[in-house]
Amino acid sequence: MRKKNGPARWGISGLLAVLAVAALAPLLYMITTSFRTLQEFASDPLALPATLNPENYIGLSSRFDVVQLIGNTAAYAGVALVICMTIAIPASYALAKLRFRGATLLFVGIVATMGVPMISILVPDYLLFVQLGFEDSPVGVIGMWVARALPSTIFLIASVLRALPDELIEAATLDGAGYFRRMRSIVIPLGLPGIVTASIFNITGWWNDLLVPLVFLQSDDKQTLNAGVATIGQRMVTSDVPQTVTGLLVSSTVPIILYVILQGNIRKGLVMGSVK
Amino acid sequence: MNALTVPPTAVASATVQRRRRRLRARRAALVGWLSCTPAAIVILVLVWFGVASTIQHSFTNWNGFSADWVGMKNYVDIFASGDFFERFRTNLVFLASLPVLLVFCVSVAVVIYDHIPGWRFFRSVYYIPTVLSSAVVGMIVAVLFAPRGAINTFLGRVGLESLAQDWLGRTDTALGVLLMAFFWQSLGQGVLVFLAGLSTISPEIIEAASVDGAGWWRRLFTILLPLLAPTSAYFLLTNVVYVLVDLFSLVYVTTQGGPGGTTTPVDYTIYLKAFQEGNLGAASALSVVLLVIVFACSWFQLRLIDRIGE
Repeated sequence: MRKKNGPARWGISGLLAVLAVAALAPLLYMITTSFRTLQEFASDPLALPATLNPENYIGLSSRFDVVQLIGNTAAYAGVALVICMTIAIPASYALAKLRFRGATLLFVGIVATMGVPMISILVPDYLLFVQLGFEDSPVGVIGMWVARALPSTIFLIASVLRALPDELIEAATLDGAGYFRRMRSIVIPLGLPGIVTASIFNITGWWNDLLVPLVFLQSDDKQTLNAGVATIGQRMVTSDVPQTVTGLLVSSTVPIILYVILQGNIRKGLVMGSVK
Repeated sequence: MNALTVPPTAVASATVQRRRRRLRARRAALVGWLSCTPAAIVILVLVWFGVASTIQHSFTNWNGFSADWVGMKNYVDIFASGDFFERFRTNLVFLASLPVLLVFCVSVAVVIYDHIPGWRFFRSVYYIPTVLSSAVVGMIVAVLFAPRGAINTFLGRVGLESLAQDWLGRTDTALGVLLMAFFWQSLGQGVLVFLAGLSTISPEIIEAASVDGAGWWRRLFTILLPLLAPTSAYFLLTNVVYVLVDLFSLVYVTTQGGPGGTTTPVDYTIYLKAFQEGNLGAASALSVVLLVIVFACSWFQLRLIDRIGE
């Protein structure tokens, strides 16, 4: 498929470069705007900053505490991920490797759950958590996140485990390895590609979720980043665009850094998720 | 085998073996069910209880405290009020844009796969908008397209004042801006998905074809694109579900469903009915309709994927 680089290929490269500029322009605009004052912005929303003014970055901690919002999101997502994997890994192992009556039914039931939209279960679940005393509490958010992530997580990890030869686990059983020993020394290390992929998908989904935190959390200081941006940011954007944009920019550094570090894993994960 | 020729010890060991096998099967069943129990409980309580409750309440005028049975009234309201398609219009506009997004992503993926000059750089850069959260994307877009924002200022600067307008204040341009944000955020993901699909095609097939004298376009249409069919099906399935049930965050931040509720996708409508109007019965009925549509779409597309896979 590969050809020498003739003018046609450089032409396509040029088109892709235009697209790359379009992909990056909003980010660059955020960076330049973050160094401008409100007065500068009001007189000309397009110009470059006159000086490298850090005022907007300093103002964040008192006006739009994205650092705390990032911390909240990371904490909720971390707890949700640990719970999700603790529940999903044994289930995936059983459904992929143990033959028992009802296994197929369980598997189909779990997979069918993937199609249920969050909005269809939000109201009853919200009222359930309120009744249990978890109004305005991260417990509700974590519960919903785990419940929504479990089916696809089990599906992915089970499909990885299913591809492993049965002999591996049988040999370990004959060697006298108990259930938890088999988990630790065989299922988790060999299922790791599936576990990593599912984790990346789940964290991306939780990071992007707006509906659940918006409904389940009311206090600004408990909010997740995405919902905080949507509520606090929206209140502020009408009065102070540069300050808001600075918040958006700082909040985006975390996923961008994670992406740069995890690029390879994300790409491998997509191969697994999209090509069976 | 003739029973008479089997020595008695072998018979005994066969029964022992059978008993041992049955014991092992029972143990496997116990371990299997115990391993699945936590997952099953969470899914039953938080997902299927929710679905059942939503279905039940869709026949009532539930407001969070009291719920009186009203029969099919909520469903009649949805289908007979004449604005059924209006409720789904935003979703349908996004749905109609998916083939364009597909062609766009496949084209970019194919030229990157072809190692066009700078392909590594492009592959990385296109993904960056994808990692931004939908609320951030929506907010940036709203800032850029504000009446006195960067886009209108730019148009004025280059002598196109006539094009400058209140982008988010008109239905058609607001939908256009939302679609642009959606494309901006989806391109990177789409390109990576198709590159993943392309990476599974063995180079030998392509080499064999070029030895046979097939040119670049020939190879594109006879080898690469057909082999990408399953990936395309996966891409469409995930995106169809996305535009049906997940547009809330982008729209909530960018246009708040405006102007006049004309860009409100159906999941946002349910949210408004439930949490602003407190009309939980009507919200439940609309949720059930959405649930049925999503299941029907997924089922149809999974069958399609199976067909392609054969």
